[in-house]
Amino acid sequence: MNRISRTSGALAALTVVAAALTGCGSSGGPSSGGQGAGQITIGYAGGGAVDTYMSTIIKHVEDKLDVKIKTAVYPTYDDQLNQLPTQFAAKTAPDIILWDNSAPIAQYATEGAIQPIDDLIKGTDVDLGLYPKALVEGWRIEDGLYAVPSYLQNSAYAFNTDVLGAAGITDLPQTLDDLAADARQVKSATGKPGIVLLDNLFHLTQYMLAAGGGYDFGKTIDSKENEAGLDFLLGLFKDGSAQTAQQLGATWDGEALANGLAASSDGGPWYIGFMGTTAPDVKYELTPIPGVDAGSPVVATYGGGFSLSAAAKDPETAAKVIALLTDTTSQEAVLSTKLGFVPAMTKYADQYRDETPQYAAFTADVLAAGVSLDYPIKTTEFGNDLVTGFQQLVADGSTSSKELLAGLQDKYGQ
Amino acid sequence: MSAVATRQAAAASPRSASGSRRALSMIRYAFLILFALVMAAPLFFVLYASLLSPADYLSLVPPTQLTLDNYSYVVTHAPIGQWYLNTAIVTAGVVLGAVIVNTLAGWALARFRFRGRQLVFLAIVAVLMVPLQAYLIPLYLQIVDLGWLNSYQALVIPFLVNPLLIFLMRQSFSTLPRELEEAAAIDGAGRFRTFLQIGVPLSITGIATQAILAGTWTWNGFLVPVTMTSDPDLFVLTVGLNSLQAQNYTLPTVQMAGVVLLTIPIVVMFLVFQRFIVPSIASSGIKG
Amino acid sequence: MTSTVAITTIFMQLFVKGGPAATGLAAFGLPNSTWYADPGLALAFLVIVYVYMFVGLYIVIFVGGIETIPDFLYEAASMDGAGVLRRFWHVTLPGIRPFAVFVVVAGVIQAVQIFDQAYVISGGTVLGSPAGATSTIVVFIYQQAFRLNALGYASAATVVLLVLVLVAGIVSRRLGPKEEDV
Repeated sequence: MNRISRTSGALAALTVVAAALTGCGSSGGPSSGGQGAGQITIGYAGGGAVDTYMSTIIKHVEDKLDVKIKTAVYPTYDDQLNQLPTQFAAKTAPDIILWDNSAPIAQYATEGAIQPIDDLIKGTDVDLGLYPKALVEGWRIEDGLYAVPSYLQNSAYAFNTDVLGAAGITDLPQTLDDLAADARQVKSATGKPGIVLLDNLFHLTQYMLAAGGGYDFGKTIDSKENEAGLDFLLGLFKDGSAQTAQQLGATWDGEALANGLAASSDGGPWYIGFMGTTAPDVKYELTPIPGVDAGSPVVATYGGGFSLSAAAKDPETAAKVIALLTDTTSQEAVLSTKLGFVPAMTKYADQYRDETPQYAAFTADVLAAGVSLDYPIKTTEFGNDLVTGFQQLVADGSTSSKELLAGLQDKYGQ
Repeated sequence: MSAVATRQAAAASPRSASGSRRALSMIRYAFLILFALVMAAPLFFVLYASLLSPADYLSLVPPTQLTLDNYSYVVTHAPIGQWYLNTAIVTAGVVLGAVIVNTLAGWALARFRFRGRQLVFLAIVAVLMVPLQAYLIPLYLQIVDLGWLNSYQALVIPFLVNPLLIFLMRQSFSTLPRELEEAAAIDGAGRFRTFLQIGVPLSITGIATQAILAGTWTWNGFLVPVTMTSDPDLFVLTVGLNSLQAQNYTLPTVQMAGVVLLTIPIVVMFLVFQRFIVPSIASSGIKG
Repeated sequence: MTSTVAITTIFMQLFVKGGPAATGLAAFGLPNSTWYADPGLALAFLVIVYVYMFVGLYIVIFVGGIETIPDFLYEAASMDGAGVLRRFWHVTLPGIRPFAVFVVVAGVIQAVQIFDQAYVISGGTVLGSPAGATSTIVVFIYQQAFRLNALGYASAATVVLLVLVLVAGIVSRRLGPKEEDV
């Protein structure tokens, strides 16, 4: 008996310790999850220049407005996209979220995780006329505006002109047909693929857009143009003139291009910072994506912006904060903190273009004419199925891109 | 890990002077050294890559071209001291707590006769099969309910009980001869004293293995801390080092430097605890 | 970036087309292609990385197990004239039996739960790449729970996993030797 009581005594002691730990923790109560009163949380993917930029504009907000800003930092943008669904479900997501609309924005909007801000920003200084139209439209879902733009992104085509030169190509291709011909010439002259592809939703979509396609939020998944875009890639993959970044041993397309493993890739302004840092001696050019006809290149204009969580405690204050996070002072900070992004306001985008010769091809007209990323509503799932289907087509070609897209239209169409 | 292999090789030195034995031990040496090299090669590659400038990544350069820039980038761009501290606090908490909890549980399962013992054991093995990815979100919701988001205890308390470690300790205790405990019982030692004075000292290898496992998992863990913390002041090393990349691309050389910084304390910890795993190896080399 | 990511990244460089391992293994008739981007080889690549990462741990556990065997058993066996192999067979193996059981059970469970390596090789593209070749059960669970916010599917998959492993465990107990303490 004595032994048993001693053992249970020890166990009881442990229980007390555990209870004490639990007790002191739970005194905060369930409300202490994401945000307290009088305090606005801003979530963003941190690291390097972003931290400097964010702390600069947060200080600007706190100077102008009597509000306490707290940051919720995700180590990478990937982590942000992985964590947000859980946080939306648990209502612990930050009040304000910085992200770009290549993320499943339409999905979160229809699920009610983020809220439209049209009415909330009416009393603030936000002037949507100061931005390229395509940029604002990209955040408009079903008549609601779901963010105020902060920076501009666009798709582009990047050429490693050293590799092109080695294959005897001096003029950049003007059409998709030229691009395919050049890719094959690079392959036969140098043995390297002409095109490297990072096979995910964003990059596959660029080729469909270049062929004149798009999704219209799920209405036109199986269009002829989308089929042509996929077939363009599949034809080049068949003879090795195009390869994935993985096949080339690169973690993404830019790395393959910087290392001269391929001649070209679709890309965007992020190539400028990357090439400058990791491959300062490699010659490259960044242009709009060649389209079906010469003289009608394609870019997707999209960008980063600050969205408002549906669970935000104080949407009015949060909207005022968003207005300050995107005002002219904050836009100047995009340039002065060397964020490496193109500011969203036309005026500052022009200034960025003047300072960045590599970005010269993306004039205000090109950007304004840009198409937006109109992914089907169940974006993530659609992306998984599209990419896996594409990889299967590359691997064994047992079906066709027509069948793949028809299947996706059935499943994700509207 | 390679340290074990080489120490074992050293310990396995021949006692006999006979020629064939010597040849055999030469072969054994050669094999162990080769094995150690293969095991260590990727680690050397990480070290090498961390000393390259970004433009040189994946190419061979002369030693004069090596640089410490990646390390100074990490040190100047990040509160690495704070991250080390956070990681150390969480790891120490998990290791201390886990050793106590799981050792006690393992002893109970190995030595106590109670109704439903097999059932409890089966239940623990069953829990072992539930992957972290499956219970992390429910756990997150629980942590939110407790108000523990962005706290050390969110990273420690749920991970004190570890079915794999209970299983390890049960197996470890079950190798001990019962005669010693029976003798202790005759001498009037209670159950807890028997555990402390017989069970624990004789299973110190199991306990050290447990500490190493719990320590490395916690130290290297990423999915749990990235889910439970969003306050940069509470970042552990893995999470913090992950944030050390430019917005749209990664610099592999900086990341490799991060891995070196992450790994050094683990290696040190392993060398410390290794003495408990192989305490008398030099004197009992014949075993291998 | 954790050590798993670092190790996997390094193995990726070895097994890329034209890399040392891919080229070397091509001499044995395997295709010289990028293993982790080839639907036929990606799973084998995962196995290689996984074995590399865990073999050291299991060695440590076995070393610890061998240490628990009392010296006098070896001395007695030697006196009875047992050679190295017989001592290994009759003293070492039975002595480390509980540790071997642990390594087999833990090894199976951890192998079933393989995830990190698959996550790394599909970086930038979709999980399970290429063409679903590395879509393990935990990859599916993670995908459903984290990316698609479908906790129900993830939980159902976990239950299926549990039943599968339990059945495998019961079958192996039926077939294997019966011993009380193992």
